[in-house]
Amino acid sequence: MNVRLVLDASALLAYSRLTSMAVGELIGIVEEEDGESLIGVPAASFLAAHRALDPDDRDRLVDLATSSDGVTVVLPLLGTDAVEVAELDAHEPGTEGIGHAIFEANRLSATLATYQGEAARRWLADYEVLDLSP
Amino acid sequence: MTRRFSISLPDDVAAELDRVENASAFIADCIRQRRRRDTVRKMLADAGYEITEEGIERMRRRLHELEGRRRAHKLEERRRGRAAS
Repeated sequence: MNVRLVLDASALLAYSRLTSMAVGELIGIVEEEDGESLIGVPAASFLAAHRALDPDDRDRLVDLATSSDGVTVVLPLLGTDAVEVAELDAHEPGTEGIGHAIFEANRLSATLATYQGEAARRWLADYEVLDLSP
Repeated sequence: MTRRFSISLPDDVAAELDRVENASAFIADCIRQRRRRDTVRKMLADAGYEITEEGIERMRRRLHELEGRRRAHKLEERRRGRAAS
């Protein structure tokens, strides 16, 4: 499995609320450029975004995460990885769901797409973070 | 499981198949990629997105720039590791 990009909760919220074209454009790029790369949706980021969304916007999030034959894959949070993710989240209050996204971007050597670039860059190198903020 | 098909193709497409080692695998790969493209475009359209080529190009440049820096960093790490050993 080749995960090229990871989306955190902030990116998932922007996509689901239609507040920015950025994630849609990233999906278009991954679809166009090769037939095998995927976009990872960390399970904890999905849960954080799902909780924060209105029912109408939730449908977009669920479609994004569950579309078979698409370009996205939900990344599970397993075993003791949960401890590291919880500690990352505890260090970044107010950025719920970013811990799992940082963890997966690091584990998979993927680029983290986020609107919380400042928090992400405290844990990842500058070139590992695609800051979607305008 | 596989199924056997007899298909007709235009000359230019057939010529492409003459060049590949495994025509069945090539066609299966093309169909999977087409299915993936259709799925993604339908999902974006259903969500209400109208993605423009300009937007994709702008984002592609940003993503490629980051990925290029990541590759350069990895190469540098490898070079340092070799120099240290």
